[in-house]
Amino acid sequence: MRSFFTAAKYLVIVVLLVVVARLVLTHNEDQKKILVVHSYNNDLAWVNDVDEGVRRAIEDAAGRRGPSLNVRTHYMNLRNHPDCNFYKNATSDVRFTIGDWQPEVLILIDDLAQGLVGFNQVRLNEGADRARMAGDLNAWLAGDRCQTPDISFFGLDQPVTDNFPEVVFAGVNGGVGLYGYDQATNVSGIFERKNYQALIETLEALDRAYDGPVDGIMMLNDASPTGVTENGNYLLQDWAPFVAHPPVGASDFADWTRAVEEANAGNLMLLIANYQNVRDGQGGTVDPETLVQWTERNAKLPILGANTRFVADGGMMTVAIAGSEQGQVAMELAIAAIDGNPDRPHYDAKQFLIGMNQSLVRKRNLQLPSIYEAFSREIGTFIEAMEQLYVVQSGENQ
Amino acid sequence: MVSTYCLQEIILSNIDHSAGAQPRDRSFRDFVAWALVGVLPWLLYLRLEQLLPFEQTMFLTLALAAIVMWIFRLTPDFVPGLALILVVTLLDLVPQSIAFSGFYSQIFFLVFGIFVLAALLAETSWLNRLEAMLVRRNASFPTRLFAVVCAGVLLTLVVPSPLGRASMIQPLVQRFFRPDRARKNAFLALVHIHGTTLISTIILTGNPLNFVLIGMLNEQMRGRFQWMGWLQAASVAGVVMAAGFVAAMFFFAAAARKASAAGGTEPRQCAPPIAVVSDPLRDWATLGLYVFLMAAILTRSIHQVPLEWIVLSLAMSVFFFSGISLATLRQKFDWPTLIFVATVVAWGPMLDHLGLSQWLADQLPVLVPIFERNLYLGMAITMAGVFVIRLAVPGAPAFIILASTLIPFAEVIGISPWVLGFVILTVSEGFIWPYQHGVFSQAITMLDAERIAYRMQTLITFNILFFMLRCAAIFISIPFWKALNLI
Repeated sequence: MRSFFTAAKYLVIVVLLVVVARLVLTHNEDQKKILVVHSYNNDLAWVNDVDEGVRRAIEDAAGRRGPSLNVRTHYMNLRNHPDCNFYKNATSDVRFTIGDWQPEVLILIDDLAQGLVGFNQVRLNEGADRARMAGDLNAWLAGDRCQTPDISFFGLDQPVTDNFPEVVFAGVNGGVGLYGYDQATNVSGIFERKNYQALIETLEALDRAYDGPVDGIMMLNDASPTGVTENGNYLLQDWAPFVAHPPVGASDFADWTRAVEEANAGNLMLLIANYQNVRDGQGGTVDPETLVQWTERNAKLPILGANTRFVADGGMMTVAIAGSEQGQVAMELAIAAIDGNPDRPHYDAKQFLIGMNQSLVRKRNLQLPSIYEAFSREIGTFIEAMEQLYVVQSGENQ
Repeated sequence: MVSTYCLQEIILSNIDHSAGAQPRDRSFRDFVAWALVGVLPWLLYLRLEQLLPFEQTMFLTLALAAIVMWIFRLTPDFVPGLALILVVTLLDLVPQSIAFSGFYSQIFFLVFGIFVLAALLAETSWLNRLEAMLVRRNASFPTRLFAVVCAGVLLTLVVPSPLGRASMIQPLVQRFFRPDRARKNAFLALVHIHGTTLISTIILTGNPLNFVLIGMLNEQMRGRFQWMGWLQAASVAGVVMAAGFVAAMFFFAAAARKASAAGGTEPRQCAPPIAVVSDPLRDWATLGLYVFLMAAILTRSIHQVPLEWIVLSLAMSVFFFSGISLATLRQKFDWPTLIFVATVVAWGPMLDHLGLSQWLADQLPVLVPIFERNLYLGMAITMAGVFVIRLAVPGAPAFIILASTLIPFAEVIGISPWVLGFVILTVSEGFIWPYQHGVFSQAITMLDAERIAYRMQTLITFNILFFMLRCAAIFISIPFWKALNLI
């Protein structure tokens, strides 16, 4: 009798364990897995802004009892290692995670992640010439970092062939044709294209406030893939009433200096978006703060930034796309896809941020419309971390 | 139980031995060591005060005090680690949630679960059965060597402590020592100590420091180096080491045969058969548990439950089925190592929080161009550095010092932090002299206590060879790591 009850006890325990295991496994199956892949690392304010937006969208979804989500974030850290071998290794890490974890949705932030990770995950329309696209992409990824390698180097020859995840892009500056997104059926996303109207309006305000002659504008970026795309977009844009001079993609500090001198000589206002990858000629990159502060000191005409960090790095004024909007919309698109929404829209960024450094405005003796200051202050007071980012009170920066 | 009895006997004989010899007076050494715990950090503080902000200087000062305590083995290993996080919390240098993060990290529960399973295994009679069988069959020398190695390797899969494994196998080895066969005894001892330590870094669950390394990696990398991923990345090194070990075994067997032939046939003593006291249900249930664990590891992509939670649930089921009594748990569970792992896992997050990771990585500017130009040379310099540090510093603190510095450094030069961590671990687990490794010193103590003849020269020579084998395994792995896109 005793052994009977012992056996019965163990049977009860086994049944309980099976029930609990079953509960856990069904819970895991119900969860929708979303992998957020950043091209860069969280040492960039932009990346944290995007993450903040992602978090906000997750909270909204939880608030309205949306699908149960399991979100992981992966930082490829490509900005700190702009070399082909690191690109390859970082990509292999992401592919390992995708293969191992099998997320339902991939949210890819910024251009490099689209090329390195997204291209292999798209379900292309019939008739799309994948081989040609892979070749173009391969050459773009190599850029001037290395000799264009074999197509297998970045793994572009190994597309996913079944169980395609949904792909959501964000932070893309140019088009998405390079990544095959325009011929794919599982891609939605939001562009980070500059708000050109806002840039032109601000340039006009600067032009009016500046005493001397303004003979045109010139875009100045580094030679990173994003910088090159940015310069391409600049050329496509109608900048009237300004005369747009050919943009410069400065690979090193010498190029950068020349471009600033050229702008000074031609009375051109500089428009700067990407400046984190300017080489210093000694194997490293010029510290962004040093670079922006140098430029601010040496440029004759006012400079307009088009990057969230520009004012924090020592610039006078910036009109930038909000990272949080990119993250929030991307996550909303991911949730929509999980909910079975058949649309795969490509949105444009609507929200932009203004930042200004009052002391530098005063130094240049500019009288700007007070709305710029008011808006900058508003952001500064609303988002605490942005205070130092967008409104630097006079004297603080000396 | 026989093994417990043997172990007690060894412990008793150790005590007898040490009581017989005059215990060395360590009071002066300890005084000097404690004085250094105060003086060296103070000097460091004076040196860094102008260079770094207060929080960073203070943390480095306190960390150095902990390191000095480790070097001189002034307290059990977990104490300096715990003291450090206590003081940094009291001084508000690091938020409590970061300083004590090791205690609620997944690593803590993984180690906890694995230790429960290991304690359960120590309760089974599998090793006794093997021992009894070898005695009954009157096994030859090579067979015994083989049995010891197999037991060592199998235990590496499931018992995450080299010292624990060595103690578990000790009874198996001890019975086969012959008091007068110095060379053979040395071979047997070598197989014992290296069989339980050599591949401890190849398998995630083979060494507590492996968990510390996993804990030091960031979240997105941890997923890649779970049980199978770790084994895959370490596989080439493992194969090289195994091949070297097999070669050594052949040499031992051949040399022993030659010695026996020269010295006439050795009369095989007929040892009395061993009675195995066993609980077959527990033995098989334990085996079943490990089979389940392996199956769960292999099917991870299907069920998506992380390793630590699987191990923890298995540990819970051990208690559900009354597999271990509380008394056994108190006795067999390695609490100090668990606490040690929990305290040092927080080093990475603490250094990150204080912004010291980058600072430490920047202290090695000479290494950057070397690594960029010639990876092999960079690795060789790293290994030489580890060797030199290990001359003075015990394994665990040496690993923590090196890993805290070199893992951020790996990020700087753009290679996988796991690779550098693995290299440091594998080299720092190597040893030449008894004081460098617990398993070796324990074996020597046992041999001396039992008055068993052995040739120290043979042991040292082979230790050097095994050390070189570790280095060779790393060099041969480099192309493989390149192919895996880790470097």
